[in-house]
Amino acid sequence: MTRGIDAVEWLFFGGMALLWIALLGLVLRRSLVGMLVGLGLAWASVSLLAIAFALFEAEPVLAVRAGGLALVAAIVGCLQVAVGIALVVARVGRRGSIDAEEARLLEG
Amino acid sequence: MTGWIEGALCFGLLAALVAVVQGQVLSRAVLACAAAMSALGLALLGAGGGVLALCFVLVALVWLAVLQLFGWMLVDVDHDHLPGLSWRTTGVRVAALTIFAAALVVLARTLWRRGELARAVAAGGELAPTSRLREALDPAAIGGLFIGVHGDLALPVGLLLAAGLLAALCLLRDSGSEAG
Repeated sequence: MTRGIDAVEWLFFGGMALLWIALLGLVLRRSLVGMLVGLGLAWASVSLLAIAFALFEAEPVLAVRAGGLALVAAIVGCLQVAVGIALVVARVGRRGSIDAEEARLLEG
Repeated sequence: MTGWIEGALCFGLLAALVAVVQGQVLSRAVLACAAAMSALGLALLGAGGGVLALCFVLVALVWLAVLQLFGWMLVDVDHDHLPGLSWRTTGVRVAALTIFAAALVVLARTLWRRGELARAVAAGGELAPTSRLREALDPAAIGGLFIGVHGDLALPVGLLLAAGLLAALCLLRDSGSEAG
C-alpha cells in the first residue's frame, strides 16, 4: 500500500530540484550576472530545504532552530549576491566584460 | 488537500528553469525569478511555513531588486552578447550535472524508501497542520534563540540591524572616489 506524498515532502523534493536548476545556471551560463541568478536560486533552495526540515520537526525547540537557520541562510545569501553583483559592476568598469570565461586573473 | 501546493511548486521550478535557461535578458530573468519565488513562497505558506515563508519571499524580493538595480548600472546587460560555450565544455558540464542529478535522485529515493521522510512527517504531523511550527512562527521565539533572555527585543534589534545595513550602503556609495 503506497502512501501519498505529504506537502512537506513535496517541499523537500522541490528544494532538491531547485538546487539542481541553480547549479545548471552556475555551470552553463557564461555571463557573470547569469551566474549570480543561479547563485540566488541556490540560496533559495537552501532556505526551502531548511524550512522543509523545520516543518519536519515535532520538537518546538528544534523547529525554531531550523527556522532560525533558514532565516540566516536567506539573509546571508541575499547579502552575498549583493556583494557579488558589486564585484561584477567593478569588473565591468575595469574590463568592460561580464564574460566569466575571461575572469581568470586574480589581482591583488 | 495539497494539489495546489504541488502545482505551485511545479510552476515555481519551471519558472526558475526558464530564468536560468532563457535568461539572456536580465529583466526577463528577474521577472521569471520573481514568479518562481512567489510560487515557491505560496507553496511554503500552504505547507504551514507561516512567517518563515513570508521572510523567504521578502528576502527573495530584496535579492531580485538588488540584482535588477545593480544590473541597470552595467553596460549592455540587457543582452550579454556572449557566444555559447564550446561543445566540449558544454558536454563535460552536462555530464557533471547529470551525475549530480543522479546523486540527488538516489539520495531522495533512498530517503523515501527507507521511510525517513515518512517518519519525520508523521512525527511532525502530531501537531495540527495549521499549528506546525507554532513556536517558529513567533518572532519572540526566534529572538530568544538568537539573543536569549532579551528575545523580546528581537523586533527593535532587527530594525537597528536594517538601519545599520542601510547606513553602511549609503557610506559605501562614495568609496569609488578613493580608487581614483
